Amino acid sequence: MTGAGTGSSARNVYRVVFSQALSANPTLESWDDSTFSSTSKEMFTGTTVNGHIPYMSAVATTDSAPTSSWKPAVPVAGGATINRLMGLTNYVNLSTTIPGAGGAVRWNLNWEVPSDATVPSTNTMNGVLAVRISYSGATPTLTWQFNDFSAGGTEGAPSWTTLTPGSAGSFIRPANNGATSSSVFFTIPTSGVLDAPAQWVTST
Amino acid sequence: MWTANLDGGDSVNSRMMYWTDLSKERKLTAVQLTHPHFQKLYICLKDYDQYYYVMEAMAYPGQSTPNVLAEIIGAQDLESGIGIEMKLTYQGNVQGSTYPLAKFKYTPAILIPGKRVEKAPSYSCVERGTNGEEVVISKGSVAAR
Repeated sequence: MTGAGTGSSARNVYRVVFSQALSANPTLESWDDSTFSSTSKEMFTGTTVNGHIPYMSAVATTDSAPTSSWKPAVPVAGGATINRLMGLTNYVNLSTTIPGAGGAVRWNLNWEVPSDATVPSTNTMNGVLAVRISYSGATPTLTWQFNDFSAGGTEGAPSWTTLTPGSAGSFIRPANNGATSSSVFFTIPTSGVLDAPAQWVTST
Repeated sequence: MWTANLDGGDSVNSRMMYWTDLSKERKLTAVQLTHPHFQKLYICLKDYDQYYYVMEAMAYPGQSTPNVLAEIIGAQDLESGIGIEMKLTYQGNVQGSTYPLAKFKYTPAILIPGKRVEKAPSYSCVERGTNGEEVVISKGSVAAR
């Protein structure tokens, strides 16, 4: 998608639209799986090379644009506008104004992968990204969207494409520049850490 | 499911309306929370100055209808400046907590005024027996006057 990653100051990368009003500001979290009870995978515990911190970072862009290179060096305890993601230990507060009916929150993601990351990453980087919400009235319907580069989306004129889950859901994948829809791959660095230059949304 | 006892003796519940449909003109004397499956267990908050109810849910990318994780009832004692929350998870676990009112994280729009019947605000966790008897599992008073 357009503008993904820490090298971007874009606001229009990912968003969720709520059909009904919420009762609190939503948060963005990442967990091992959809039981939302553990964060033991390598993408949370990290490795020796990356200092044993979570791979994934996020920044809330609902209220303002981040500066370029927004990825935090270390996670912040609890919730913050910018944070590494690990369950309820480290998460992102997506807004400062509680969304009303039709309201939306936006964010950007970054994948930082170290040279000693486990390959293949099938069971080490397959966490679940999730939004936590609170509401007191009608159940809101969530519309998940990304700014679709393939559809010509730009920061100034976003092309919001709604995620269409496959049988196993929707996937957000770190990728090399030059990856294609039929070949989404990411090459780990030979030393140090590397921020994925691209991100793809897929249904498989 | 929440049930709100109204000043005047009658009650309403979540099968009749959303919490956000409650009128703030009619004060509440107590609020109860019952698990949708474990209906013998209920939690009650009474004699507080304000009450609220919230559903907590999560959704992953592409999921349009969120999964409900827990229902929460809360109440606030304005004189002491303390709020109390009772969270009933989908698995049937009960989690209670108190907080200073300055840490209230929800919109004030969901606060419904309460009316005290007795002196001290209180909470209780009750299990109904097979013969309709009620067994109090836990109870207390967060802010006694």
